[in-house]
Amino acid sequence: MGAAAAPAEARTVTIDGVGMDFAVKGGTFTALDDIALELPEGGFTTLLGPSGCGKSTLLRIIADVIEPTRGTVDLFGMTPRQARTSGLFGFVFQDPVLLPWRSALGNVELPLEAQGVPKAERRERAMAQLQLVGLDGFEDRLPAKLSGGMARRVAIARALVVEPSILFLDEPFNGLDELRRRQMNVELQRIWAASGTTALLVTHNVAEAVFLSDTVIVMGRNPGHVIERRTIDLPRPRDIDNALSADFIAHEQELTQLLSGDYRSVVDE
Amino acid sequence: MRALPRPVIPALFFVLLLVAWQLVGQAVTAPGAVLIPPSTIVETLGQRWYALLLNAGITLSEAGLGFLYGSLAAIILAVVVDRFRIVGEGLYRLALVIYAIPVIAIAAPLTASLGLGMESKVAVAALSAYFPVLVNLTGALRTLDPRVQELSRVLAMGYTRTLLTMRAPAVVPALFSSFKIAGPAAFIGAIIAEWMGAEGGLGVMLIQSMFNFNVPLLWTVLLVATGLNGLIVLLFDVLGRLAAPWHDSSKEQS
Ligand SMILES: Nc1ncnc2c1ncn2[C@@H]1O[C@H](COP(=O)(O)OP(=O)(O)OP(=O)(O)O)[C@@H](O)[C@H]1O
Ligand SMILES: [Mg+2]
Repeated sequence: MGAAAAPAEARTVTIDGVGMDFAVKGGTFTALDDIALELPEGGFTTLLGPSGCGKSTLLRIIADVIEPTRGTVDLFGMTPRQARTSGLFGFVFQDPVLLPWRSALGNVELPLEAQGVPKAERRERAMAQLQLVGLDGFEDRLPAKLSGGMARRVAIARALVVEPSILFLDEPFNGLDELRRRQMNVELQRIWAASGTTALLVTHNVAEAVFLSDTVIVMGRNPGHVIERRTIDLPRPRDIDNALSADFIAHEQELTQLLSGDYRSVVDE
Repeated sequence: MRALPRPVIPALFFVLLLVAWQLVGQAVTAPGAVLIPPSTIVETLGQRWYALLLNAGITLSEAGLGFLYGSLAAIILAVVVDRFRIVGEGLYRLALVIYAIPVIAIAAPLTASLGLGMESKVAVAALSAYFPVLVNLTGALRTLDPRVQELSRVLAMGYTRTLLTMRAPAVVPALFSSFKIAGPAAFIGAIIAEWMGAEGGLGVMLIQSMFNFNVPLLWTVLLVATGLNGLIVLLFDVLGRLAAPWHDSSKEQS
């Protein structure tokens, strides 16, 4: 997989004027309208917004799973298609989507198979990822024999194993208990900082957004749009105790305010 | 508690049925009576076992070959339908039309053109077998989890690799349940083709015992054929479980 060398000057993911219309019964439904974003390389950006505001749709568009109706996406000077076929993406879907006939290890090896990595190296790298998400000892289990939280962690390991340039995370910690979620937040921060990957996270959890992000994009719905872009300038590395600091709580409160503003406007309609 | 009654009750019922059958069969003793007691059938089985074995072998090999060709053609066709939607749709329609022709009606001209040898039987068996496989496999490929398709797209896997690593394994259970229909269909197809004229086979035995009013033999052949059909279903059931051991446990969960 010869990754097309990106020109040195373009080091952001730029989304410009992106809109998405879905064909529905009796016309079209506008899921996203005029989205403009800039994700700096190596940055951690989070999309925060109510259910149905188009977060997953936006992730799908950037990752070239679907094509937008309007607008352009540029990934470090590449088209989404070029970036995808160069194997730069790691994607954690909203559901784990594991292959039921493959063991946890086999599922994590899948992206490496697609890239033609030799078997021994595949095994080694997949094992290392499973260890990272705390699943060593479970590598031979079939997905049906894993708990929901374990299946999610397998999906995260599968996304990380290719050492992606861009990591898409669609509510990756849904269904994990609160303690495990916090642990995974700390882990994710560490992995992200160590790898230098550009991360784009979707979450409903405000504390998680503040804890992990450089930038939080607050979205509203009908149609999906950007309400505000907020820089979280807390020092790194952050640990769980930071979540009790005054700055942290201030960010949390203001983001919650922005979100509930959107909820109110929907109720008022 | 749950596992015990399941095989016991049908077995008991079966034994009772056999006993009743024996008693009624013995009571109706007229020559050429419709109901033959099981003891007579067992007797016939003992006397004619070699002929039965020989003819069953002939029919089974015809059916086996036909099944092989028929399902192979169906699998290839299903992949073509999946890969090339527009061309595939036309071929699929054509396959439906061909299947609408009754086996009996197609067996006669096939025997006329392919002769009384094995070829005509294999052809009819293949024609009987391809359809369940085609319909089941096409349906299964069509209704695959769209999220898996998204995964293969993100991983930039091509069509062939996606087919081999993600889609083909997912349709293995559907394939084996279609074999459970196609196997017996091929077997019955071979027997019907033998009626049109053949040198040997269970179909020939059936016809001959019918024309000779040899009712005990007629029943015995019928029973052997039914038993073999059941074994074919059982074989594919077991093979299906072996090929997709992950499937049952996932079904129990949902
Ligand atoms: N393929 C589709 N066809 C029609 N409508 C769609 C399609 N995909 C998404 N939508 C609609 O677009 C809107 C945004 O969907 P999306 O899944 O992106 O929301 P989301 O912000 O991820 O929500 P959640 O937080 O619940 O996951 C929803 O109203 C959804 O019904
Ligand atoms: Mg979503």
